[in-house]
Amino acid sequence: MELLNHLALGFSTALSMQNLLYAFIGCLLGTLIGVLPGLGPVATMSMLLPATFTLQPTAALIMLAGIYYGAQYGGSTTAILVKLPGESSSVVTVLDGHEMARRGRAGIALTTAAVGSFFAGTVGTLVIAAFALPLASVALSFGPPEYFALMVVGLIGSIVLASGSVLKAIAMVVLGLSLGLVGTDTQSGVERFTFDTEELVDGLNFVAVTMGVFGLAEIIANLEKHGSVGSEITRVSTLFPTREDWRRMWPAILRGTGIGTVLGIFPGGGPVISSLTSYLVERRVSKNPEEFGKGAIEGVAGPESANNAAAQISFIPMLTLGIPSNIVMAMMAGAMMMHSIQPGPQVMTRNPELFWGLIASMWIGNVMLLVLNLPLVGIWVRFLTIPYRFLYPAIIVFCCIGVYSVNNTVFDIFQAAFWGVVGYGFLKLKLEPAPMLLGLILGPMMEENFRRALVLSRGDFGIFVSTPVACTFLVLAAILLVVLASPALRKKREVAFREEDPA
Amino acid sequence: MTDTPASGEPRGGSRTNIRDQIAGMLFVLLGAAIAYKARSYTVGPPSNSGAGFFPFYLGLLLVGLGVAITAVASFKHDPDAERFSMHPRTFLGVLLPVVIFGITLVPAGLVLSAFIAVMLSSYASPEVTFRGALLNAAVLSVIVLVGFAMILGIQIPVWPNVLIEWLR
Repeated sequence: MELLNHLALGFSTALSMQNLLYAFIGCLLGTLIGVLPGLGPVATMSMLLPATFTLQPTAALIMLAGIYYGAQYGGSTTAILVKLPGESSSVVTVLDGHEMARRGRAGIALTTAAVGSFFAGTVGTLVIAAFALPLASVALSFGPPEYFALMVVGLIGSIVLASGSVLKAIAMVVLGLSLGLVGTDTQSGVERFTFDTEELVDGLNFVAVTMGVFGLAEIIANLEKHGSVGSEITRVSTLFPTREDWRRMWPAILRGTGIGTVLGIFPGGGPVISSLTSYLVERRVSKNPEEFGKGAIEGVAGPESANNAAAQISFIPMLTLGIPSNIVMAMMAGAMMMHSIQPGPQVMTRNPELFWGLIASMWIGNVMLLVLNLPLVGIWVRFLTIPYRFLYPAIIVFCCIGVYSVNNTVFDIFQAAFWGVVGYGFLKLKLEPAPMLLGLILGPMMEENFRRALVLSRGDFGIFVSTPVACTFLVLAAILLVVLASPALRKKREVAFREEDPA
Repeated sequence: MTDTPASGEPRGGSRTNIRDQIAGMLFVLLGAAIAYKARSYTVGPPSNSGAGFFPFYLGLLLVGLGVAITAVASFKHDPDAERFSMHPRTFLGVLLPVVIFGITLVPAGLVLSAFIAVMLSSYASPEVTFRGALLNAAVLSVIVLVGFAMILGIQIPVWPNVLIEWLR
């Protein structure tokens, strides 16, 4: 019953005119950038973050969330129609989605993806609503050692998302943690690593770092790759699947949703791994596996459901524990902090209308996306024909304006340029920036909990092992690390990342 | 691509992964620098740790990881060694406008700065003609003026200082 009350509060918040409008804008923008090649949700969110300052926190978060799942929908549209995964989570959709399109079934593939995503999104939203409360109450009982251990799990988990060497990804996490310590130490008031620069006293500007490392470095990479827009845009015929299609689609959607829901909970699990796992499962359980890669509808239904379920579920760690599990969630956490809301279990009790409003808006957003995507698919395809040479100058300028307006200081623009250089270096050295950014966000929190735990135990490191919950988390982190380093999984990760690997 | 790859990176037959070796050594250097700098703050015992405690050990950890990465890289070869290329033109064409925008924004205002940045950024892509860049710059300056300054109402200098003085 309590849950129903909460959901009622959520819907009444999310259904206000203003919040509906921002959810719509978010979904629209998300779809747009999902369709536009070379512009991801992270860059877009960091560009728009400053613009959300003037909004109420609830509206701001609703809009940012809309961008996130909107991009998932848009990304699959391009994957199916032009063989270009707009987002990394749609990489496997290309395999069968585009094959379906080539066989004149583009419309059916799009409907399959949309229906699957919608169903998975609905289930995901319900799961968040059901689990948020119990999880948060558990989290409230956590002390410093538990939190520290939990963050270790989160950071190790973020490595799953990184392609390439596990060692390099861990090094990036540690580098990020160190960068997070720049600025005033909250406990002693000492200014650290600021090099007497006044602008660094409050720490590195997260938006500037993200924009440089993702936004600017990505533009350089895209321009170097050259000619990124595919030529064969498929025509969309009928949108309606046949009875036979529905019959084959449903089990795949159910399995995909299940896989996404389970894998989405794990830190770093994320949409990419879920969609890949779902594809492999579908191929295994299918009676005619030879159809896969030749336009099997299950190959679209499963992964598309899985990535959307996982995208929704990945909100759970951020909303209930305050620990972002991927870079988009880190942006959301950053947005909360800019509105002076500390992400964590207390959000639910202190800002219930924000918490439940956001959850309700996810479902509303999924409805909007269903409506936005299918009938308007012709318009979205049109955007694909915009040449990148007209887009990237706009992205550069928007990035500059966005980063300036965070603190109204020109210094941050230079900071973004600096991180652009660094990000380009990362690209060339094949260092994944996402784990570093998670480290950057978690650095101060991790240090605080680490030091407080040691004060509690009077300097005994045993506190991390003697506390049962903390010990469990650390063991989990260790297992995760071993699994990640195992050769079998590495091969699978290589397959997953091969398609999106920039040189 | 009219740019020629500027750097002659190793042939595919190389026995070590140079890319990872460089990365590993960079981590060693960075880690050492972090640990060294952290020493200038109070490190203290674990029971009463100071501002330098956490960064000091993070720095050491980074050094260790860097050594490990370099070591592993010395026995593995880089499957993509041949794909290593640099395009200074693209690099400069994207980052220079950002720096210039930062320099011009306060004295020259948003509209002019955006115009200049877009013009400069056209250098990054050989496909952009001068006329195309002019058109793009003009359109974007208007979008920026209307979208950011008027609709979103972001606090930002819009017009050149000189112009404002002169109009007064």
